[in-house]
Amino acid sequence: MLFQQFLDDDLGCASYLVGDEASGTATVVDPPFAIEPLLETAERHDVRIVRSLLTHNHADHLSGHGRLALEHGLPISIHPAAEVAYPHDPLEDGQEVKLGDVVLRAVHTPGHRPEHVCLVVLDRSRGDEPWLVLSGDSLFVGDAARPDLAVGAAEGAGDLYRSLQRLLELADGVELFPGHVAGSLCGKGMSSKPSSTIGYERRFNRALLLENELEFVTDAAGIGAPKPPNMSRIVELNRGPFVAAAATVAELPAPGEATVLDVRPVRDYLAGHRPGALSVPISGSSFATKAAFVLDPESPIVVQAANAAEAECAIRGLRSIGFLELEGYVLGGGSERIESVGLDELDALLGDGAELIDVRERDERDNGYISGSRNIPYRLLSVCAADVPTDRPVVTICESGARAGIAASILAAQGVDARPVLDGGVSDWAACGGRTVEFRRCGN
Amino acid sequence: MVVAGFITPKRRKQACLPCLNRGATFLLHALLVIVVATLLVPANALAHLIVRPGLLETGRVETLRIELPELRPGRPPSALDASAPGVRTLASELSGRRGKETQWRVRVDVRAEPGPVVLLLRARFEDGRFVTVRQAMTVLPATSTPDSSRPVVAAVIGILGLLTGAAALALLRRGRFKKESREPC
Repeated sequence: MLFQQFLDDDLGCASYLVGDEASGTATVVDPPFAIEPLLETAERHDVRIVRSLLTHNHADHLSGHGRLALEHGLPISIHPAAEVAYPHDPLEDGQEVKLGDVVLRAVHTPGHRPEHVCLVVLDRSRGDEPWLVLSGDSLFVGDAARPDLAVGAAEGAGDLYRSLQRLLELADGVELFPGHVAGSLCGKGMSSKPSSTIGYERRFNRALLLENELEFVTDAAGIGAPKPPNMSRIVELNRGPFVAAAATVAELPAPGEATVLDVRPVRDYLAGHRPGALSVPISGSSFATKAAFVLDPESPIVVQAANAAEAECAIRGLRSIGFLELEGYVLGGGSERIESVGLDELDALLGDGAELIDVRERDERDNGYISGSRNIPYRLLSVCAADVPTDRPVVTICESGARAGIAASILAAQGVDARPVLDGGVSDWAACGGRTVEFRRCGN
Repeated sequence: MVVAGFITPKRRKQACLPCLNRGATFLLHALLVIVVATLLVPANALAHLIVRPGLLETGRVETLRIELPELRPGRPPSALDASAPGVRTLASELSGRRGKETQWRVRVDVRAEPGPVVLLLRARFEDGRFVTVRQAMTVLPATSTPDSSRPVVAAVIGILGLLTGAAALALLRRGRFKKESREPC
């Protein structure tokens, strides 16, 4: 059997190439929009990809099934409850896709989304028992998927609980390959390890250790993590007509009226950037997700990078989350400068009346925040900027400095005198003897 | 967009009478295409129907929570019935509204064979007309059906009955023995 996992480290998404080398056929499962690595691997192993299998309509990234259909004529299988607008073969519970001795059997596992299926993989040249399961967005390594993306959390969780019981009917030795690893917003506590076994998860997965359905539903309904950005738009792109490969973009002499996304390291941005540019460094974690949180999908976008390779990398990342109409890229810096703030300067600045904005998420802040600070998560700053004072300096702070940099750029683009704490964050402040306040919410 | 495609060239040209006639004809054709396309596209291809739970268990009465999109302009349906081979509606009620969507609670008796099933949801409107939409679901085998537990229960009752009978017989014999032993020789 040919089996290869493809991980998008930035989005935390996993795709698979499963095939039978003897028969020379393979299928892709949950292909990413950047389909080239899968095609190259298939070619290297001398197998022909014959079909795209989708576990569900993805909400956090653009799927590559449309490109495979348009460019290579591949048929698509997905559960009928997906209500997709493109031609497809229904992939219902118990249905099998055969590739020589390799069989992929669908198991309907609604919860994350109503159409969700897992794929149990058998290699009949070795035995009739399931060898591994591609669990998509149902069971992850260390946790279960979030159930609140398609319907209410409690209702989705009820379905997900039943679905997980189906997966637990598999033997302990069956290997588990999920659709996401840490870094994705489709779950909250998943591991960065890309695979596990049913037996290990049965013993140690926190979601599976909950006593009963009621406890599971209560836990799942309390998820506080933000939903993936542009979720509805991405689902509609994935369930709608095929999305073709986007046109190549070129270097522009100037960005014009477009929103500039500066993807250079944050210190380069601070040293000199174009007026109004937003900073989301490509070198940071979850670039695409962070960029999607701060960009308006309806506005024209130009990438600002240090070189063409960096620009292309950023453009690929933006397209993976559905930003297809990019104007182009510009290179180099700009004339605007921002000074960063050291933790040792913070006391003096606050004493002088500076406004401190904690740009972390609510649950992070509850574990300890600096007294007097305001909480506006960086992803909401563009809509909340009107509430931020313009008559005094503003300091942004997070846990490590990454989000504080993004936040300062959003505020600076709106005319606020904002400066980020880049080296460290609230935990470092507390470690240096700074006083923090904890907050416990009812029900937690 | 179709209409825009026909209108845009008209603006650039001089407004002579034959041009206006051609433009009007094109516009009429475009509108006709849109109307026909709207009629041909099934309602559920555009709408988002949600039925929970997605997994049903055979041998059980399940309560389906259904979110119906706007199936027809105007007033929402007055009744909803869910059916499939081996699935029949016991009761159905409108439980809420959200914008143009309606939310329903439908109790169904599930006797279907395990496997995929297409649930037909038949919405009835006040004018007596129906709109039917479909939802693919999965029926799971029963976890503990009354039929499978019945032989076990019967066996337990049988064993208990035998034990009780044996105990009663033993007590009866003991009583008779005591009575016989008390009688004078």
